[in-house]
Amino acid sequence: MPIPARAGVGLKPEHYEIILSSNPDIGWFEVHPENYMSAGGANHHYLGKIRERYPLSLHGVGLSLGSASGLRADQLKALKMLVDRYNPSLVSEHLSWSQFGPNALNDLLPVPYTEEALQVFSNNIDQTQNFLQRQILIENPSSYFQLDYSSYAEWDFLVALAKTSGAGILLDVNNIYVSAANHGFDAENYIKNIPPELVGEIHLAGHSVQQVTGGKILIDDHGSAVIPKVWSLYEHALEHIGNRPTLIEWDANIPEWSRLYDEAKIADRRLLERSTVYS
Amino acid sequence: MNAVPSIVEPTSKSPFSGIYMQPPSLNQYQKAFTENLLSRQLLSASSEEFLSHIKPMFGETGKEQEVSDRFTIYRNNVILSLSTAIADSFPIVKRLIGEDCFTRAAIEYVRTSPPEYSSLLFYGEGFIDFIRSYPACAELNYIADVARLEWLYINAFHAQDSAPLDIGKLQTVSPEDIGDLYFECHPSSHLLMSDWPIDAIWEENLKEEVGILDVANLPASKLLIYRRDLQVQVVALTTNCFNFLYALKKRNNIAEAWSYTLELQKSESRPELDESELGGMLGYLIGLSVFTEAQIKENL
Repeated sequence: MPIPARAGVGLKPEHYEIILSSNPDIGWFEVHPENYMSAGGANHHYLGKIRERYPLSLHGVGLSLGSASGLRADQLKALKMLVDRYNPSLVSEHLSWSQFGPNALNDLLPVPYTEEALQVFSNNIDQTQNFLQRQILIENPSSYFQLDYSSYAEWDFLVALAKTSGAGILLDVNNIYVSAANHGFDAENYIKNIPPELVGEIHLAGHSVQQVTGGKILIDDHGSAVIPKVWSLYEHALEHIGNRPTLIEWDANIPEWSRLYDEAKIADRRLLERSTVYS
Repeated sequence: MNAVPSIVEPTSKSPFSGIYMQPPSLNQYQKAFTENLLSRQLLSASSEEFLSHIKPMFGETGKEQEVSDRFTIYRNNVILSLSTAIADSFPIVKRLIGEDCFTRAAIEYVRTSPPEYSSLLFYGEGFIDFIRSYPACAELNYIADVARLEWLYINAFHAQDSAPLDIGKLQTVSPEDIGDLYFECHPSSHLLMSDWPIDAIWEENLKEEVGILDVANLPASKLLIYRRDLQVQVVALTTNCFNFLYALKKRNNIAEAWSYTLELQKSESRPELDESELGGMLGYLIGLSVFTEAQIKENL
């Protein structure tokens, strides 16, 4: 079941029942595989039922592709078990790291964009794609600082990585907006530098604002609706890249299903309008 | 690859010491990041060099504070997300000790025992012993046992699925062979014993309005925690039934499990147990759907 270039939403346990009883007209669902790394019970029961009706995307947050010490075999195996069990249409991970030695740090931490990091990511992605026997997509992260010894801009690093590893790109438009504000770069220029054919999925989410010394930092907390400026940037991305499966992420302060569904319908309308205008 | 480097700046001037520093390797960077992420405060030795490579964006004034603030966002995110995971796993412990006390305990715990796996479904077993010896909870003797109950609840929730025992199968067993029957219990099933009425405490604290419990005068608990269909059940068993099921779970057949139950009943000088009660006990346990398989042979 390939994923259509329509809106999907992040699947939350709070919404299992209403999705199964109301059969919403939604393109697809996405989950974090880490939330299903268990043997059985309700989570698998509901995900299995929803998977029977909708395409699925597995969006990992724990593989730590940027770890200099390499990947953990047990993490890869746990991911492979879910890929085999649910046969997802898309599998994605992040341009970040989250594991050091025996510690899982539960956040998408930034890397310096250096030749060394490019090699580390490239090796780890190779290993993942070989083990899973499929292509994965790599998502641009949001970040709160940059390192002064980075030798690539993030967009150049991401594109170079996709080209060397054969991975695709998951373009998170909210993350571009957040990082552009936090680091003072041009969000539209970022998108312009991404070759459309590398992009397999788009993400949209809400963010919040935090005051720090000297200015404001945008925080990618997935805790609210997509703001109008991010919707505009999304339009811009669609013009450059074309229509792609687009996910609404809403992971904190999770709203009623109808609110999330409405948000997905906005993305669906933009995709539909474009396909009628340009096709 | 033929990417054009966009930002070339191989060395940098530290805003702290004014000397030029070589950038760290990726492994050194991740090591320093991790150390300073989980520490109570930024560690002066490793954080100074680490922070010296973070680019300030908001101008010269206060730039040292700015880079520290930027890094602190990650420190706060990680501690908050991990301590929230602990709170999600132990909601009743949180209610019993209060939000402030729980948050302090959870933060202390995640700093010293961060998770090993990125999946947090089973993160927090060590919190049971941690909360047992947490000074602020010293007077709540039962707190660690309540935490154990919540932990077993989570484990039962995510355990392997298994269909309940087909009762028809038991009807084919001839009466003289019943004693030789071995049972397989549902993969989610756990037995838990406590000197405290933790089932009553747990149940009371699931309610919106919590009443007062006379903890000292309520009976000790002997509990079966398991999943029936998708729902986790917490069932209080009689002492005899608890002992009987314990023996069955330890791969004893019915006859052996019953002898074990009688032995304990005698040694603990509890009221006499009549042979006729075995049938009722067995029927009760079968009715709970805690068994998934029954066979005469031991090699289940």
